[in-house]
Amino acid sequence: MELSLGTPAMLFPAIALLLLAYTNRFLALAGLIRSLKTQYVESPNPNLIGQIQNIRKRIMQVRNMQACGIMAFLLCVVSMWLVYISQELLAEYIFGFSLFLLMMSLYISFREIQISVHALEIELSDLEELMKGK
Amino acid sequence: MAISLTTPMLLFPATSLILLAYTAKLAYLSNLARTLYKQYTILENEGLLIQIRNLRKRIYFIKNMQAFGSLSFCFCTISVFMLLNNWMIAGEVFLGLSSVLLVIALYLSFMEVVLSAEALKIVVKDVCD
Repeated sequence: MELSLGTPAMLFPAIALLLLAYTNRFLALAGLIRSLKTQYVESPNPNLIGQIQNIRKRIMQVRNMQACGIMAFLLCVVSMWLVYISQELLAEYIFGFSLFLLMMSLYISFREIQISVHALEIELSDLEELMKGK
Repeated sequence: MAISLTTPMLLFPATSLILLAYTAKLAYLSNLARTLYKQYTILENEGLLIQIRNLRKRIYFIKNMQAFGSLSFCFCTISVFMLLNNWMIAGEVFLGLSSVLLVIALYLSFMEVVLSAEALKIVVKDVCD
């Protein structure tokens, strides 16, 4: 299908907002891991180690999501520029690659969501026993 | 109806804003659950336990909302990719799947909103008693 100058530009707001969501998640996780570390130094609890490991893994995933998202954004801009200088075929390839990176980013995000509640689950695991006792 | 390359792209900003909202909600609720749990270990209050149970249910809803939302976005991107390669039917199928997933995410979101007032009711009831 024909690529017009506006086509890659339509990805801009989406990717920018997506990056905002990723940044929020990253900040929340970074803050949490710091407070858990402080808690662990005060009282070594095996529950905390499990949570910290989970969060570390997720921070790496969020970082990769961000990296893929930013590259997708960059290639999108490059593609727009190529359309502007009438290099249609090259622009289509770059745009396709940009979409592919966006897919990757979203797929990693999906994986991250699947393990996301696990840390909270560990935190609340002794609550479960308390509930059973009642 | 024939779809063009830009049709699936109309969903992009909407989906990513929804994901942003869901992420903020999840961060807030999981923080709240942690705080209430800390309070519970000190106070051992029955009301707190019910609130935490409610929050957990909602956190699961939000997790699924996010999962469906990001899959919907992913399928939307695949749809654009297919259309770019002139695979019209595959593009349409992926766009259809993407909108179904978005509908599921929004339905879950509705269920979560219905649940959300419950935890507050418990707090207010405590005060009234």
